[in-house]
Amino acid sequence: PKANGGGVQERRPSGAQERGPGEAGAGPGGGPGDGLESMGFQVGCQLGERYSKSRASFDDTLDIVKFLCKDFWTEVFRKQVDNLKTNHRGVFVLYDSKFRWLRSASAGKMMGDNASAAAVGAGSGGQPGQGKTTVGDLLRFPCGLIRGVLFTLGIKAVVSADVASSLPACSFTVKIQQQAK
Amino acid sequence: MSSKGKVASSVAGERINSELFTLTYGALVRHLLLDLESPEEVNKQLDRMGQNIGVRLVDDFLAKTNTTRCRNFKEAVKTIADTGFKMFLGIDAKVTQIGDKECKMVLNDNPLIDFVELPEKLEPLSYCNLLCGVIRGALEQVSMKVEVLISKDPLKGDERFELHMKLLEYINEEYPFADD
Repeated sequence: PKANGGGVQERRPSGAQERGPGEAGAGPGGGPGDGLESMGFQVGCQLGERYSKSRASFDDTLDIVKFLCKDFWTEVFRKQVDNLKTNHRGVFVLYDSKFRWLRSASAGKMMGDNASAAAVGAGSGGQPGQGKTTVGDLLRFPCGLIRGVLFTLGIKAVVSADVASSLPACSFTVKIQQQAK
Repeated sequence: MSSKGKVASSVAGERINSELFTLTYGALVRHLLLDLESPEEVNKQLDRMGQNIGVRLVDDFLAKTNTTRCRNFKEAVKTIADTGFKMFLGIDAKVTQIGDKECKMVLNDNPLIDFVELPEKLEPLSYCNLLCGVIRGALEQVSMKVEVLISKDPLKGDERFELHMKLLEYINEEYPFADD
């Protein structure tokens, strides 16, 4: 029997594409963040499929991003994204004023003195803080999650996250590389 | 989402999406399988991770429940089954056999294995080994050294999920506590 769903799934949406661009394959050489990002990606793909199966097909990319901000966000984070901005050229910024997974994160303790380490690029090879958990590291999983949802709905994107000084507010930047056809 | 589809998290009354939980655990196990050489190694790693969780979880548990001190293994097992599983996984566990040093516990519903099937080549994988580690780690913090094994596993064809726990020894608390 073959594994499916949450389990030890062999099915990959498109082979080597599973790990983000810039991540060097499945080697153990990648930082801990790479693993978190790709786990997020896998979960994102699966959840994206589950939550979109009973709705009408999407009109366009904006429709998919709206689904992400409303339906998906509500299921996973129990609230909607507070603000969605776009430049109409493939960049979306999702702002969540109370991002659930950062509610008990503390800037001082987590990030040390290096607040700029909070910016994390998923798939763009951002370096996790050395031996120290940064808020950026906490956001690698959700970055992967977002990338996975979009991927499973036909959009390839690069997702990065930024925390402003005011935790638990957080924004995700989605740069679309290839639109749904 | 079905009403069953919610898992209790550490904060009483606060819940996380159970599909997210289940799928994330699946992704974790899958990732370990990719990174480590054999399913046996994955079992060990899951156990270690669980232990780390258990060591912390017990503090959370004691802080949020009005549990009085468990004087012996039997009481500890009952507390885990009655309160622990309910609180952290939102499921009921039933103690089916209990002795002074051994017990068996059946989980009626195990959210970790929703959607999961194991391929044959992963026969040695003990998919839920994290749970064993959690219990071991938690009891270690309250002075009991135990061994926990998955004795029945629906992923391997059994009807229900069953844990087998064995008390190895009571640990005497040593003073002064070593610094972390």
